[in-house]
Amino acid sequence: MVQISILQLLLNGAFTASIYILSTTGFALVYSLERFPNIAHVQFFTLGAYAGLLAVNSLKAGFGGALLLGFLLSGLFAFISYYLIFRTLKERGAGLVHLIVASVGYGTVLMYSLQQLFGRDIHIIQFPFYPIEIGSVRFTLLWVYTILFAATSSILLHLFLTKTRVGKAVRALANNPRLAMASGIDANRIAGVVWFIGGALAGVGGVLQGMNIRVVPTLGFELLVPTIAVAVLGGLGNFYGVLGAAFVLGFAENFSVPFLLSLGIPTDLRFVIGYVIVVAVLVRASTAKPVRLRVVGVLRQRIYG
Amino acid sequence: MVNVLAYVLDVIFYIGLYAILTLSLNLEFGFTGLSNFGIVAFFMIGAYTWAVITKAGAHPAVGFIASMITAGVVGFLVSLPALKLRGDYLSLATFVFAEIMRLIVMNIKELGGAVGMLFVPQIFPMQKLDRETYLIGNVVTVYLVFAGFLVMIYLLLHSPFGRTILAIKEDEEAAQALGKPTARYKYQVFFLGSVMCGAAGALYAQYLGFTGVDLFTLTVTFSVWIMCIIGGSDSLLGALVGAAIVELLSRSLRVAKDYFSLPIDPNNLMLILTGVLMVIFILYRPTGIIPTVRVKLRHRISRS
Repeated sequence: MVQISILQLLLNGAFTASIYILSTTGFALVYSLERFPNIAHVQFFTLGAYAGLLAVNSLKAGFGGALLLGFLLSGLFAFISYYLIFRTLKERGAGLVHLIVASVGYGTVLMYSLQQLFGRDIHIIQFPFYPIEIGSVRFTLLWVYTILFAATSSILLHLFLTKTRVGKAVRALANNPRLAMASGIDANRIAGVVWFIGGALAGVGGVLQGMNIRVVPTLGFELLVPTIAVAVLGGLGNFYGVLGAAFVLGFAENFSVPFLLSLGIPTDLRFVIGYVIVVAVLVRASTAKPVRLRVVGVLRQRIYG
Repeated sequence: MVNVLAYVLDVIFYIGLYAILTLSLNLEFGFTGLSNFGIVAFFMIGAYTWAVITKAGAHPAVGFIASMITAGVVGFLVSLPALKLRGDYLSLATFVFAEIMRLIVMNIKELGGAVGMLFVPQIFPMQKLDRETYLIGNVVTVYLVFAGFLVMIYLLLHSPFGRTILAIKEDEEAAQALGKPTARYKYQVFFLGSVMCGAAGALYAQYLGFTGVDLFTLTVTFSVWIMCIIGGSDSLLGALVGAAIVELLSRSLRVAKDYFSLPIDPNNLMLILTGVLMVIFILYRPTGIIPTVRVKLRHRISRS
């Protein structure tokens, strides 16, 4: 039997959770305003990874340059997609399914355009992080950066949502769009900001994940189901729920590895555990009320109430 | 020229196969308003049931019926919790379900794991018959099944059942207020839709002679949705038209590659084009190409 130390599992879990936070925050924020799951969102993640690839391998811009380019490019694409497609659809009163299908179409275009531009091959971002070993724990500096980045961006986003005028407008629009618009909030401008931030965070996540494993056109697509799982578990459209749910799923996936190994079950099934949690949450809350974790609910009340 | 005929028959077969899947989505989404984004799971269940049952030596008819029933029962079980959910949660729950199913099947050794199951029995065995008989037999079978389901849905729509599901789509609360047990109707629709996907799965597995998890990714679900939207989600023939347009588009691009030097890889171009088509249709013609049959129905309701 393979021995994996608890500390290693904690670190793996924290890294997975950080990637999930970066990929899901935008999904949840956009959901809170637009009330539809944007399937194309994970493609901003892939876009970020390719931006990182360009920045490091072609432009020799280094780690910081990669993050910056991923941030800007993905944010810009999200922003443009809002103005070109989703705003128009919203103005025409499109239903939920039409919005989902449009996002599927847009996501397909993004994914295969990237595949066309860069090919199906695996690309490696030439910015190696060497494994560090402390005791029985193996990790790379990249993991530390990823965890720090997810934490910082979450704190900044929290400050943005609670302290700034625009952030407060975002929350107002999410809670009661009509009232918010009646009080003179420009819904389109605010939505544009939210789409940009959401896409940009996913882009940074893409750069980090691309450096951690590899860059392929399906990088984001692979994250689609976990992203949805985290968003649903956090109570669709709830930013604070995402933070909690990302850790629940990240730890569930990683901590189940030794159990599955000792039972002789393939470790691929660890992803199933996360989804089973989600389905359980859905079944329990199979009413019209939004689903949310109890802990997160309390947190949310303290922050909002 | 034989090759051309075989190619055309192959295309026709796939159009019919996807038309069955699209028809099931028409029933679930177009007529009842249930957004099932897990179509591929039931398709896969049908294919694997066929493979397991016929490999054990069962008669093809038994295998076909077993595929439909298994997919239908799983669909029904999934719908029990899922259909109580709001629309957005339903689409996400079915979506996640399809991926779970794929992961589980991929990790079951008895089902061939990631490789899949080879040497699956065929209704028209390729080794014993010549290629044309095999292809024509398959095409006829697939369109017979499609026609059967088409007639079934047509009859359903012109019955009290059909009028009720249309009412559920328009306004579920109003239907409830009229004393209709809307939940029961939705379970039945989901069961029927899954049965149709299961039938398509069985036809697919026997046509290819093998089955594997790589055939059943989310892309299939997306394709079916594109076909459904392009053809017209609430029209019966829309299923066939949508499937034909998307399939012909993809095939013609693959053929074009052999005659012209395309600057873009045809597979990528095809998927980019379908994505663009999808967005354009949603933006400018959300009702699809074939006008809805609902207008006629509504007329009938108001007269009666």
